[in-house]
Amino acid sequence: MGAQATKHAAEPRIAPRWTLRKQSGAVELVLGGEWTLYSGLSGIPEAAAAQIELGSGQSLRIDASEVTRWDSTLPAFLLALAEYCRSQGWTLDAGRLPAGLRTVLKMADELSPPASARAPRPAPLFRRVGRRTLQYSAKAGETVSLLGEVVIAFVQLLRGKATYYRADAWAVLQACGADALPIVGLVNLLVGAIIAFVGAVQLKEFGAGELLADGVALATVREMAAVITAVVLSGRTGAAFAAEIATMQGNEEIDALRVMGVPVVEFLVLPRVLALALMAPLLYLYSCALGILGGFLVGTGMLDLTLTSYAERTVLALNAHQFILGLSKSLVFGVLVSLAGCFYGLRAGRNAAAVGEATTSAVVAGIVGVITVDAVFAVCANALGI
Amino acid sequence: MPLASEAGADVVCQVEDLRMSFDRRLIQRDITFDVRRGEIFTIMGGSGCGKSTLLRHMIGLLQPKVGQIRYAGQDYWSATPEQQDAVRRRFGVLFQGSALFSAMTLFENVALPLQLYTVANAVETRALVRYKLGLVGLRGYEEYYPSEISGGMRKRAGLARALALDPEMLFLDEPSAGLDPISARRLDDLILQLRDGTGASFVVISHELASLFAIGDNGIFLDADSKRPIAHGSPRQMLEHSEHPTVRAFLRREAVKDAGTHDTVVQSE
Repeated sequence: MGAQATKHAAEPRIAPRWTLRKQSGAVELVLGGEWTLYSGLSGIPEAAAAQIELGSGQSLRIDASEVTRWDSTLPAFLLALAEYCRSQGWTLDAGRLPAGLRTVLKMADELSPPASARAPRPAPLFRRVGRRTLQYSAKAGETVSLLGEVVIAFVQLLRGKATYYRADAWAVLQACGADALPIVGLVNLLVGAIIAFVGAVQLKEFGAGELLADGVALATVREMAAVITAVVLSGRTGAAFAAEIATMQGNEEIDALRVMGVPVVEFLVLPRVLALALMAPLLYLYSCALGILGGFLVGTGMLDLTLTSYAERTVLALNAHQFILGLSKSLVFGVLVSLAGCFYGLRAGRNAAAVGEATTSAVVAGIVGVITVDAVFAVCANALGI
Repeated sequence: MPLASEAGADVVCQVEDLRMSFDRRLIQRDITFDVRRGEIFTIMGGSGCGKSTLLRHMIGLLQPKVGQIRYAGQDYWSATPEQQDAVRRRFGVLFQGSALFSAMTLFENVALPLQLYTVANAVETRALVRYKLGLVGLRGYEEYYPSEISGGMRKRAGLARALALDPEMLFLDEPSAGLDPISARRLDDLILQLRDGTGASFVVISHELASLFAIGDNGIFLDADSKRPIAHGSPRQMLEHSEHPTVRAFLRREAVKDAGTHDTVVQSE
């Protein structure tokens, strides 16, 4: 307990003490010494309570005249003692206490809790399981209804009747588009380089080094650019959406919008979903370029490929179908990531911890969703022969 | 109003020549006042005049651009971090929005400073928390989370947490805002009672006129237009003696335009 030293101030302290005195039938508890937060009671409350023996209806008199110094420790102890006495059917006679002490004690005691203030007791296991199950099914319902609201909002937008704040939409567009360029670019450049590294080692064995460009181009355009970009967006933009909307929830901003008659989904969710749906494909194309550049840097460095041969093989390997596949994937990923962010943000509770939970859930749901949907795409592309 | 230089031993806090600004924007300047032991010092003024900013300077959250804030004669900002900690530990602060930790129950909120800084064991901590919550009328609500109780109850729970360490100085930012008149009156009584019982000093920001007149021993009135204090003294003195139209209008709830003619247009209290 090294912290003890700092807890005590330098001045000497007199330990609190107590004795029980019996006088002609009445029992008196005599308290003395210093009763402060920093002297400690060293188990007095428990010890005193155990030794008091009174008949029902008798009273315990308190004498605090020997107490030299006290802060709220003394009234706290006396309040606990009064409650204990009450539970035993005794009364506490505080008549001899100094006036100041009597008043604070009275204040703390008389503002007694209403019956409704009883602490909520943990429910039995069976009831908790049932309650949790009902909560989950309610949440599933909420998810479906939010999706429905987004669809309705989208229809409203197409009809030109959606209510949203244009400046906000532009800010979101910039935040998830232009501002994401450096990180998306860096990650995709590195991923392209990593693919080239792994490929180069294998292809060298077969003397098929010039095929490296094909491999990098296909892997980047078909899979990596879309998936890696979506994962970065999920961690960056999806999390930001969730945190922002969850904080608005806590500030009653969402309630304020509702009261103003503003459709929350149109106002908050629609601009964000549209922004990512627009930006994710653009970022995908940018990622393709940087992924291929990463592959090229490794290819020329490790396998002595020339710029012209690398570029030629890259162009030959790719066709419009690959890009259409990638673009449609990134569109879906963008919608998915933004929906996850907005959904968990809107569903958040109203405290600080809820913002963290919403963000975590949004990122996890976003990434898992992206990978799952990518698997579905892979199966479909295979079936279609793309 | 005594000058800071002739301060006696019972002065616990001196604010001298304080100038507050954010970047280039001046908030208030030339603020000088003392807070004495056992005094309830009120900070008054219209919305946006810098009352909360002054409070945040006093509790060490903001550093003054010019001027000093001294506790026990020692300038807070030239003290060592250890000394600053020691000074802050004698503070209790009730923030405007209560600032209860939302992930903790009321019990845990009030118990936290006790567990960090005192030697109280679990039984004593429980008794102390029960007592502190009892003082603000929240006994029995120990296991509730801040989100599960009303705004007024959160305010009182915030006060209970501010009281946890028996502070020598309590800073209350609009304690009675959002309280019903009965609770607000009870809070005033509680503040007076605590002052008499513990000898603590209070610095209170308030808009509630009834509360200001009931508890204020001394105070300062910050003016948003001239960006400096325009009146010192107790709220009652200001009401009776201040010639400044803004102060009179504020304390009498008149429209400022009528301030010049307040002798003929007397508002019924």
